[in-house]
Amino acid sequence: MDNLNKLLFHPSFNDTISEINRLNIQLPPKPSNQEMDFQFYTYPPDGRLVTNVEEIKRYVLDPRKGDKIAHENTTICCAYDESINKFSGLEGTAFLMSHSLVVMKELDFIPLNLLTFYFYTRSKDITNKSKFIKYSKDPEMDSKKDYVNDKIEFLTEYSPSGSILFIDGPLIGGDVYTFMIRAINKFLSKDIIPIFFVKNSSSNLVTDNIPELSGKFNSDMHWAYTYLKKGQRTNFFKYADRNNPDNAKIFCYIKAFELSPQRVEFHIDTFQKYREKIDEIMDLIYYLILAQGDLKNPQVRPIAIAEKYARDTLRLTDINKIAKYSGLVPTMNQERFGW
Amino acid sequence: MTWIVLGEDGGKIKFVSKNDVTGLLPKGSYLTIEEKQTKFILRVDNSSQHEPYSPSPMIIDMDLSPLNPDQKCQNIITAYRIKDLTNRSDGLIEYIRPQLLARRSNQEEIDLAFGDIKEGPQVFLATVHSGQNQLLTDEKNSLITTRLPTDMFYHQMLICGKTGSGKTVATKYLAQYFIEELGGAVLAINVKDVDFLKMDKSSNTNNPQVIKEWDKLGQKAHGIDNFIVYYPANTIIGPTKGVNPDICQKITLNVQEIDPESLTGLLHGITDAAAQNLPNIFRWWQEDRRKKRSKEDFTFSNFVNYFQEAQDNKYYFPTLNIRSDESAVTLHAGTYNNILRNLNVAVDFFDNENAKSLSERDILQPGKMSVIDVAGKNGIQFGSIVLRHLLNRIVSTKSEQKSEIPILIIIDEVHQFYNTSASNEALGDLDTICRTGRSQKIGVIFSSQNPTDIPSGLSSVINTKIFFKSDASAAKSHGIVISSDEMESLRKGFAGASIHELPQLRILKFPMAFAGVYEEGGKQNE
Repeated sequence: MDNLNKLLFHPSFNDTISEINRLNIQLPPKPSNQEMDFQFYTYPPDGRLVTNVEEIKRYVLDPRKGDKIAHENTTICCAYDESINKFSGLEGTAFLMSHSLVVMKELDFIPLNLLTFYFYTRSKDITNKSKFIKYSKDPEMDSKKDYVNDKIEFLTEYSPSGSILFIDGPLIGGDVYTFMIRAINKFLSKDIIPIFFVKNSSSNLVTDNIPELSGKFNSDMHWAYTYLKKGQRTNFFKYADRNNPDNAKIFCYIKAFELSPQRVEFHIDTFQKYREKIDEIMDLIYYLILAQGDLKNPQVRPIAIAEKYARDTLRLTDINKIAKYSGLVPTMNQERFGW
Repeated sequence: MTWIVLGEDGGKIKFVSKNDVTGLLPKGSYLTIEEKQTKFILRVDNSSQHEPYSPSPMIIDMDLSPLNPDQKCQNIITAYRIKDLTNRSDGLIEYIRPQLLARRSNQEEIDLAFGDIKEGPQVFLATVHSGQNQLLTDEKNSLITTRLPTDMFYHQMLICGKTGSGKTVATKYLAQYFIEELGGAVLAINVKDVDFLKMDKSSNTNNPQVIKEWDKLGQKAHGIDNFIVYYPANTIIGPTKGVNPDICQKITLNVQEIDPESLTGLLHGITDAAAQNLPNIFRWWQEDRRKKRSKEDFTFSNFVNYFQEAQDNKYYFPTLNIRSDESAVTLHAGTYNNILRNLNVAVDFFDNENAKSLSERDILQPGKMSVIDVAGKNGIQFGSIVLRHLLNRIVSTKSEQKSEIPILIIIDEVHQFYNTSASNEALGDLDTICRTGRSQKIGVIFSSQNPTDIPSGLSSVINTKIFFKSDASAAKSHGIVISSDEMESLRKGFAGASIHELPQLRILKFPMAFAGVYEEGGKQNE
């Protein structure tokens, strides 16, 4: 745990800031919050039908069992969330990202945060002047790749061995599919159980593939909300690659409150390796959602804490100030525009 | 233990605790921040609990156990700067920058913050928080002390507190310091029980906390060597009281020596102006007897007879005022009868054989504590006269520079002796002492259960106020910064204070006096 309780900066963090300062690139003083949307990067990328892993029915969750597991000395829970600021400037787009990992210790949540800062531009004139400015025809896409890469590097490096890792966001496919597979393998080699949570989704993986549900619901979430009572989950479904059924994810929906349910996703390798523990883990998840208790932000408690740290570290990081004090003399324009 | 500076908020510095802090730092504690060569010392003004993770009560409501990390608490503190130790000389005040670290101040830093007082009675810095009274400690859990400046004695003190609050014990402690460390003389008026009558004996206790406090001060229980109890010749100090008879002396008032003004102490229920006739009537009679050189007719009984005879003369009296102007007065019948009643009570106090007539020379002796016990029958009237007489003589002696010995006069329940509307004239020498005490080295400690009993003419010239458990609103009106809850929860020996030239000190605890205090179950320690 010695490598926790820190705020890490990506190796290119300061250099990128210095370079945009040197090149007199102006960033807007107030960034916007950016949500990374991976709806179109489903995992696996070329998936097909959902099949049920268990009998299709409602499964009642037991928070008391979850309570007991959460308090066992052998249980190590950790969680990941991120917060992202986007600076859309004339010369390009900058992303300040805070990756937050929280380990739930006996008496405290121990955080570890990684801050990254990237600047993307379509101007080769600019990128030719600095190796720290990234050329990109599609900054949104490239920023997602960098984000996923950093996230995976960060989690595989710092997540404690033998832990249950709750990750806010889905298993990601698309262009970053290979990153994800590499990460899953590394997690499993460290006995880490990565579990992915999706709160808002309009996907129809279930309703489009189960004939009797077809056409009746707007989305899987809609179905699950109608189908489940509080404290229940659906059976697990499998969503597999068309060509390689072993490349798949296992998921279910869980309804903790009289609110929209959440989707809980496992990579198939994770699910198979820890199949015997999965029921216990689902009870633990339910308990941890109750422990969070916030109806406006229903998620497992450690993710909520990771989210707080991610937001706070981002709030404490004023890129414009850092640029100003990076040792370079600000230009007249920077002063005029209130840097 | 460490606290982190968050910033300034409304003139106060705000802190949050680091993980090594496992409880609340009580209000009134002192913190030190170090930044290079500069140190800041701050007094904690507010200390509260903060739950950083804002846990939901939902699981408890569902009879599930909470997550342990969710129960994490932090200590949020606001504190006032009380001392900046800096070399800065450009006229600006140093910033206290966010993210600086603070720790509990140590003894040396508190001494610096309090002005490095070299001489004065030591007391413990204390706090009252959430109903708990605690002594302040440093990081090594060593008790923190400070000295009360000796100058405070000569700027008059008021000590208030309910019975059992520690008021008398504190007064004894201060008296013993005055005698033993300043080489002064102490005159105390004992109004009840045996409060001050056993100061020749070591205190006895086996309370480990008291012994720990004495150890910290490097002191042990010990009595006062030069100690005498004076008591009116018409009363007896019973042997059951445990007072050493060898140190008791009967005293009487000598009608030939008594200052006429002292007789106003006898009078109750008449106006100050009417009461002022008695000294002038008495002075005329006293001078008349001196001129006649008639010792046999020169007793207080003779004066009472003389006063009674005026009934036949329509209450007409020749008078002699303090400037020796002769005149005459006709008393109103009601005033006359009032005075006569009180004179009859006072006959017992005067001209007793085998009793000593107390003079200022008996009191003004270095290292001597004199107690006048007026706890007996009609003792207050006796005390009222003798106190006025002695104060008059002491003021005269000191103003004529016949004695350089500092003197501390302790008056418990002063309103009983000065039962008056408290004009400066009525307070007489007491008011003079309060205004000139510093130059003459005369100090007065007024001790009272109820601060509203202090004549208003005096309260304005009392510069040090120490309130043990008592009425909070009264304490506030005397400038003590303490809430009602805090005042209500003060334990014995703990007090809110406004000390002359020591505004940094708010809550303190007096050690138990080394002499004259007997705790139940205490081990005899003579």
